[in-house]
Amino acid sequence: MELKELHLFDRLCWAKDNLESYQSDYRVVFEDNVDEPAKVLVPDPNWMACAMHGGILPPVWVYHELEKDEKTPGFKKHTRGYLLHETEPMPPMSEEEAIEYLIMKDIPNHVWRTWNEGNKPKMVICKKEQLPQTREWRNAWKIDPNINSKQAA
Amino acid sequence: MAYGKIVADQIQHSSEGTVGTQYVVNGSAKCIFSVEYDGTAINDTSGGINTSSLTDSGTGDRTISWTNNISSRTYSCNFDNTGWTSDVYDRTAQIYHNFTTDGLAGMTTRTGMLTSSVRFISFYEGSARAIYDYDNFGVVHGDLA
Repeated sequence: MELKELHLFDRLCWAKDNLESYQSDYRVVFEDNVDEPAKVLVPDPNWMACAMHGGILPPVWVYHELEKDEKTPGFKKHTRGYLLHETEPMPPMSEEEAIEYLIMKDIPNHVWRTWNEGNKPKMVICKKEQLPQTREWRNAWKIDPNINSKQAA
Repeated sequence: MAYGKIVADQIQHSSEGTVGTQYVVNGSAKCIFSVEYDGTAINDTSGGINTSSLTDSGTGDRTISWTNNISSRTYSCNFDNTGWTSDVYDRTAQIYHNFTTDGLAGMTTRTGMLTSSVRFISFYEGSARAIYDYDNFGVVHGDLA
């Protein structure tokens, strides 16, 4: 039996036992509400290993379909979970491709679809050492309005 | 590389009887995670499974996203609780809920509980309660999508 034929959760269990976790230094800073502090997305090391190995994670559109279902009025439970398990999994991704995938999976789409529209970028990919090194004033963190959007990209 | 599969509807102990494998599958934790005390990383903890990312939204305000969604928004997510030397102070977390926009928390109305993620607030309770950066260890039970 091939890995891709297993239920997604079984693939994750296999990966946990067989793949070396990968701690990425990339972080994604984003703002989805002007009244809230900037948020920081941190990739999971086991998930990164799955993304870079390939053959484990479903395409990101599967998550978008499930999200659509969940937002349907009267939603009780998922009836299309098979999409997670039966859709051809993603091939191996580079670290950067994995971060792009994760942005589309775990950051609200109104942020990443329009990240560079408006008065300043709503999202910035950076390395963890570029973040403030202490948690002081954490609830006042914002993306610098003067950030160069080409740098931000 | 081989990926083995055993299909069985029951597991039998030599002397203690038989249990249906659906109890094992349905009763197993579907996610185990640990967040670094300052909310800046997911720890590679024993048994950790099924998380794709952590979103640090501010002091003590964290969201964990799942790789394999849970089937509905009604599941169980529990956090451990840690004291401090001889003081019986709580350091734990609770699922986020917005009472203003979503009314009383109920079976289907916990704002922070989605099939794809859970948002929770880490807090400290000593002489007063405060949102607080602290290690959180969480376990999720429920059915997978």
